[in-house]
Amino acid sequence: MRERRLLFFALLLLLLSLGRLLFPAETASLRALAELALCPGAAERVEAWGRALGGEEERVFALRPGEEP
Amino acid sequence: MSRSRIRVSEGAAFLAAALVFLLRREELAALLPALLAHELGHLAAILALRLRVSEFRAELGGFTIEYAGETGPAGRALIAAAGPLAGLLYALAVSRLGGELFCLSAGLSLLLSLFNLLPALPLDGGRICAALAELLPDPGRGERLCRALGAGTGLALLFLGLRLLLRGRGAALALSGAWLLFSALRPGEGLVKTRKLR
Repeated sequence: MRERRLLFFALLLLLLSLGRLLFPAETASLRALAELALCPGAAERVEAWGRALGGEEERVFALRPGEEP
Repeated sequence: MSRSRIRVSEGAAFLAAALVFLLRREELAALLPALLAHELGHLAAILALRLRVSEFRAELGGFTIEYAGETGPAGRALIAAAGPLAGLLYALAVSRLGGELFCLSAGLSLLLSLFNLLPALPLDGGRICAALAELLPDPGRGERLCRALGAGTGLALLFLGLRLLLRGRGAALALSGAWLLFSALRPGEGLVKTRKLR
């Protein structure tokens, strides 16, 4: 049991270290995760669904550098 | 008198730590209430049916609320449906508040609810199907029908996910489909767990 806990924390630390390498703090976000796991714009689409539910008009999302509308 | 237990698996703790690490604070603030609303929906239905919660378990694949007591297929279907329903109500309410954070939370809750309504175990939609299948004259046939629905749903998601992968997109949809397909084909994948009160 003790070894299992140690293994768990070791894996957790490994994940944190790997996470820092793959996702530098300034880009770690739900948007980046969703883009990696699904497709670009996935997080924005989920937010747009939320806006549509609330009856808000579609807004223009801020473009990232180099991105075209 | 026995009390309810709360269990958190290593996998759940691991996932929670990863989310805390990877997501921004405001994104966590958007996600957690959506999850909470869903689980509170299940809990409210269990309590409304005067059943007792015996265990609340957080695992890598999600949360499970085990309850003890007698309830029929309609009750089990209601308990399973209550989570997505609460999530949809939460999404509707929060979306009215406007703003990026609330709309993101509403969208996440909507996505969680709709995904959970897919007719595949161990999702809530699969549990609804399993409960309603007990009402059929031949329960064995009902169970086979539920498994077929679940396998079909998993296959469809897997197919869509593989198409995304081939276009250079992420693997999450394909993995979800594979998980649902595996759950449908695995023997003994449970209906909603119930235990008699001692």
